[in-house]
This record gives sequence, structure tokens and C-alpha cells, in this order.
Amino acid sequence: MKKTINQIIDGLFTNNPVLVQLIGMCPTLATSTSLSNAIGMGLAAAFVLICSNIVISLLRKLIPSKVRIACYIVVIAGFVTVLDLLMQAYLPDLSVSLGMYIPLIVVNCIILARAEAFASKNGVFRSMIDGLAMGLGFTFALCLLASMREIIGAGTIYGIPLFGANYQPVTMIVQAPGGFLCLGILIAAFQVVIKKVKGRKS
Amino acid sequence: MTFASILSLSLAAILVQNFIFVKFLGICPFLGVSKKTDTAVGMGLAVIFVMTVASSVTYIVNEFVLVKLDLMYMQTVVFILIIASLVQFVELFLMKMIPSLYKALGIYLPLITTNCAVLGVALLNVTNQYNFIESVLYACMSGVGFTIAIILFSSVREHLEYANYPKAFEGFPIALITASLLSIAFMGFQGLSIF
Amino acid sequence: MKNTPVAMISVLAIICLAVSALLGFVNFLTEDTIAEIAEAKVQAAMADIIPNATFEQVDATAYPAVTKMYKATSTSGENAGVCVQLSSSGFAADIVLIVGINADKTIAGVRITSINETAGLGSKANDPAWLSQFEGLTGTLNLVKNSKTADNDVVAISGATVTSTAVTKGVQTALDAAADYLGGGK
Repeated sequence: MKKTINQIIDGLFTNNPVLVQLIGMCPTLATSTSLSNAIGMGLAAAFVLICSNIVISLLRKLIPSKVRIACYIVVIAGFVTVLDLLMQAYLPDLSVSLGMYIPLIVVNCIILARAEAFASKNGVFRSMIDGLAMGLGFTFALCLLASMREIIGAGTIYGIPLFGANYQPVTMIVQAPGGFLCLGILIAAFQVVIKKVKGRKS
Repeated sequence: MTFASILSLSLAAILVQNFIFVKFLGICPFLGVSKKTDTAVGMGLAVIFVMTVASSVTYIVNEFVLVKLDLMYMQTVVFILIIASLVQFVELFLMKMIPSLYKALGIYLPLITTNCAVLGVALLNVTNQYNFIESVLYACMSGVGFTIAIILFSSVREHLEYANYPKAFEGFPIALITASLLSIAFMGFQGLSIF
Repeated sequence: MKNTPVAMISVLAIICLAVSALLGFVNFLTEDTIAEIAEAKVQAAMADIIPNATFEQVDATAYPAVTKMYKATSTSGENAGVCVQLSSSGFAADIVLIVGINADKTIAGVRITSINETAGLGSKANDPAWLSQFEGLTGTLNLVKNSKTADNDVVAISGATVTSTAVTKGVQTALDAAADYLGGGK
């Protein structure tokens, strides 16, 4: 139980895939324009991550090492397509908002990185928890960034207007440059906080 | 295809809808390989090559196999397999023919497989319903846009080595702030359409 | 497992087959739902534009820019016009429009079923107030920046010129196709 909690804290904070490991940036920048998109994308990626981690962990002893990347990619692509089809059928509005970034979950570095670094070397339960931890970490980072961008760039949060009609939102923030800018500031801030927490512990 | 439409498509791919600064496709190698300009150039050229060839092959497979057999939902799996094999081939080729570039690119070469830009352009060709020539042209020009972006970025980053900025921003954060400034510059191309 | 060619190829092949089977299964489960959702959206938009009418899809191959065309017949059996579904290339992605045209070749209404433009700028194109300015117009539309001076002027959204142009172009194409279909030119 303690190990599980540690894994989750690791994924959320100390080893957060976006803010610490610095992978999985494409979807982060692209889908963090609004909080609802961010939550949708985060949970979608978490779903694929957990499923692929479980399957790859189950098959880890059977896959020859030279074709392992190809095999992992096929498994991941399979789950992404399942997700895509299910979303088109049962969550059509979210599917349209996230657009092409759903099939692009296949090339989300985070999923392949966890398959290679963790699922291929650990048991099924641990791999599932790892998928959950990293997925939550990704969602957390996305939501932080999206909240920042949505509040400043559109004056709303989850679609709810915050500042009244006189607020002129800084629209650039929800466009491309804002993504880079806010993510840079967020990573810098996060790393300062993590360093301080680590410093206090030791 | 008229010269005008070729020019229009190319301008759109390179500037107006630049893969890095507007569409956010290909960020991982963009941030990872842009510390030195020569590696950036090598990576850019490799990506142009992979994007163009991958787009042509995925187009052909899509038109003559997936669409004919009504297997559109297999697009993601099939496309990514094609890309993975292609990258494997490029890796072997570089290892034998241009070993210095192979060494310089290091881990980032197999990572072209997970480069959102390559799969992204293959999927965009389908969504935009381009024909074969348009697909190949669009892929090639997007690759050029990516290369221009990465070269611009790496030249700035080389200068950053000698700049004074808050320690907290060392590494990725300052690179991202730089990228945002370049992205603002590229916003100037919005709405550019000649024909 | 060992790295022999046989092992490598067979494991990869088995995984591919298993994944394909899974996808085939899920696709089979969701195919119909997905098609229904798409059609329901179109039907809802059309009913909104031309109420009290039934819609029947007609052949639109003569109009390559048009995705689908529906003939509208009012409940009393008269020709109520035409509805056209088409995509127009917006700033970020394609914008899918449903344009209703009355039997007298004036625009009955415009609805957008798919839009993914910049939040706060291009996304304003989906505002019913902005779309309502198309209603009643006919002939050649003219996109202007500031305010309406002529009958056929459409005021663009400030800061979203590309999106406004895309929607106006789409509506124009639909209008021309419908006018042609309804007979007698513009």
C-alpha cells in the first residue's frame, strides 16, 4: 500500500512526466486551451497508458527484444483506436474538440517511455499503478496549464466567466505563443518548488 | 496543379500553419535536438525525408487498401507501423552511409517514430482529403517549415548559452519562453493567403 | 523470448492480428452509433433552419464542393427549398456548415455543426447572433470589416478574418449550388 502511494506521489509531483521528465509536450501545448479539453485529453491518455501498461507487462516475457518497440507501438495504437471509436460514439463533443490529438496519443512520448522504462520490467499490478500515476500526473500538469491559460486568456474557467463583461482577455495566451510561454513559466515554478521540498526533506 | 496553388499550399505549410509554432506538432525533437545548429539541420533534413516518404506510402496504403476494404479505423495502427519501419530503415541507412550524423542524432533518430509531426501530417492528408501530389507536397513543405523552425530556434539557443537569466529558468523553461517569442513572430503570417 | 527471425516475425504478426481483431470488434460495436450521431446533428440543424419540413437527400455530384444536399418539402407538400452541407477551410480546421435556402433563393439560415477555431475569436462564428445576419440574403455576398452599408454585406468578426471569410465563402458556395439546383440561375 505504501509503495502504491509513493508511486502515485511520484507520478503526480516528483517525477511528473510533463513538468519534471519534460516529455509529452505536443498534446500538452495543444490541448491546454481550456480546462474541459485538458481533463478530457488527460483522462484519455491515462486510459491508454493504463491499458497498454497492463498488456505490455503481461506480454513482457514473450516479446523478443529486437522487435519490442514495434510491438509496444502496435499495442498502444490499438488502444488509442479503441478510445477514439468509443469517444466518437459516446462522447462526440469532446471527440470533436480534441480532434486529431486523439490519434496523436499514439505518439505521446509518455506512453512509449513508460512502456519501455517500466511496464517491460515490472509486474502487472505495479505497471497498472504506474500507468495510473503517470496518467494522473499528465492530467494534473495539463489542468494546471489549462487553468492558467483559460483564466488569463479567455477570462473563464471550465466555461464559467470569471471577471464580468469588462475583462479584456489576453487572447494570445490561448493561442500558440501563450502555450509555450505559460508552460515555460509553469515548469520553472514547479521545479523551484520541487527543489525546495527535496531540500527540506534531506 | 497550377503554380499558384503549389505556392499557396507551400506557404501555408511553411509559414501560416507552421507545424511547430502554430500546430504544436514535433515539439519533443524541437526542444531536444536544438542545442546545436548542425544537429538541428541534420534532424530537420531527416524529418523532411521521413515525412515525405511516410506520407506517400501512407497515402497509397490508405487509398488502395484501407478505403477499398472499409477499414478506416485501422488508419492509426497501419500508419504508425509504416512510419516505424521507415525510421528503422533511415537509421540503418545513416549508420552505414553517414555515421557522423548517425552518432550526432543519437537517441533522437529512433524518436522520429514518435514525432507527432510525421503521424500528424499523414493524418492531416487524410482529413484534408488531399490527392497524392498534394499530400506529398504538403508533407515535404511541412517538413521544411519544421526545419526552418528548428534552425531558427537552435541559433537563438546557442546565443542563450552566454545570456544571463534567472537560474530557475535554466534548460527547458527558457527554451520555451524563446519559442513563445518566435511563435508570436510567426503569428504575423496569420491570414497570409495569396491566391 | 529469443531474438530469432521466426520468433520476432511471429510475435509481431500475432500482436498485429490480435489488435486488428479487437479493433474490428469495437468498430462493429460503435459504427452505427457514430453514423447516427452524425446524421442526427445534420437533421437537427436542418429542422432548426426550415421548420415544419421533411428532408430528402438528393444527388449532389453536380456540385463537387457540396458534401450533401437535401430537398426540403413542407408539411403541406410544397417545395420549401434546399439544405446544403459542406465544409469550408477555416483557420485551424474545416468548418462544417449547414445552409438552408428557401425556394425563393434567399438564405433561410446557417448553422455550424463542426468548428474548431481559436477560442474567443474564430469560435465566435458559432454565435447565433452573428450567423443570423446571413438570413434573407441572396445573390453575391460581400464581406466587410466595419458595418453593413449594402443589402448583401456580411460584417466580419473583428480579429477573426480568416474564419469569417471561410464561413462566408462556404455560405456563398451553398447558395450558388442551391440556386442552380432550384433552377433558373441566380
